[in-house]
Amino acid sequence: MSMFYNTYAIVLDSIDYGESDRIVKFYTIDYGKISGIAKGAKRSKKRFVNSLEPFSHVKLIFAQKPNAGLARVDQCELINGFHSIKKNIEIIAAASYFVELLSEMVREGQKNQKVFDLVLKFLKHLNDGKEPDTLTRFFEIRLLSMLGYLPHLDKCVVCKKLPDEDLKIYFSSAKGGVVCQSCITSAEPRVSISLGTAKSLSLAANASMEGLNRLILSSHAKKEGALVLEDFIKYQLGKELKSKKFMEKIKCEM
Amino acid sequence: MSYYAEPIMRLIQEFSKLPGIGEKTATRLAVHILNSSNGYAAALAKSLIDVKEKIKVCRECFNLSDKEICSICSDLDRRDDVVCVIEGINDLAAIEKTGGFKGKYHVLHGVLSPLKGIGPDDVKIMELVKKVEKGDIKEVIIATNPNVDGEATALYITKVLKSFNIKVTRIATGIPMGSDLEYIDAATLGMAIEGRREM
Repeated sequence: MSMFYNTYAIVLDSIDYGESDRIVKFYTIDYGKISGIAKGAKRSKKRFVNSLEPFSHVKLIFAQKPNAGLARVDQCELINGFHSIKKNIEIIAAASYFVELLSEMVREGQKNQKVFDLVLKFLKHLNDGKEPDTLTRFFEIRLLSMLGYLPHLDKCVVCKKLPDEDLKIYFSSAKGGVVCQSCITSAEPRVSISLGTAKSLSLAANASMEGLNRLILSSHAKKEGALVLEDFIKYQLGKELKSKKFMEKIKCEM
Repeated sequence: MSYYAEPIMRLIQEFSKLPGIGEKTATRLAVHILNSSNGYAAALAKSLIDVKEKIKVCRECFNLSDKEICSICSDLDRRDDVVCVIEGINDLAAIEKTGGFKGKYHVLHGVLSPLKGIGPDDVKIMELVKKVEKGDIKEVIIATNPNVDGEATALYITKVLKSFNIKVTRIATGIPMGSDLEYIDAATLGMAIEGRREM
């Protein structure tokens, strides 16, 4: 017998299925990531009207049989559609990246209320028109931290010493953090990082939300941070995200 | 063991590959064809082959057509300077049904989608830019769907056409004709108020 669940969720993705149905991925506050089928979603003018669009914050009622893969979406009511996000293509790309990264980093049914609050807050920031590049770096580092993937940024992962200010340091995704010049081997894949960027990222991972609002990344730190985190996330997931590629494509063509 | 002779069985299998058709419906269709005249079966077979052999993409607007240039593009009564950009050929049929549009079309054959990884090179946006470059077009109406992917596409097209001195417009979003404000969802109503027009 199906059990009914009532919760709040963020829509991660939705794809058309068959004549008029949609399969939707949600990140719910109480049950983590779930996939559900919304019957008649494309045709329905009342039940699901514009609530199944990506990055919508919704109130969700779904039914699920034990051990069944796909839930049945019974009701989905829009709380916040973040409509301002949809007025700028770079912001649409950033918001898509947030939800895709989340979707790839969590397993189905893995509940984490802090992560839910984080995504919601960052979508709100994007909706309010905050600068997407810095927000993306902060989102990446905080999500990694909350899910237990935070790289070591304060000390060299090999010798455990604080890196010397005068020497160059590197970031090794395979080793999971910064490596000082004396510990790095020449054959190892790495990305250059400055001590300042490593410190800023570490601060962004650990600061309170209020503290984060005051934190500013220099344009150098933004560039370096983007390269480091891109490499690290790619290493962790074993692939490049579609929305990331999309972001780069529209950036270089503009 | 099959209850049907092999040719019938094969037809049932082919029918059940069609979208929305299960084995039961496929069997019913196969039996229907078996009971109908030879002429009907031949006409159906010919139509199937013709649709694959004769249909090609219009050189101008990328609509499907049996000629090099489709009937809409070759119609002299339609305006050349107004182009309506749409996602697919179903949308073209929907707009044609309104009877209110007398310009030409440009079919994108898809929309940009960050989550599906569909970028500008995967749809026919550059072809639209090339068309605009020729200088005959005065207005581009973007009629992609009002969802995330459709909006992303509209915003991208607006950006790439910015450098040309033409009017770029977006179809309105709002309240359906004959409906009741009380029952309209907040998002649609909000958009309708934002996009209000002067009377």
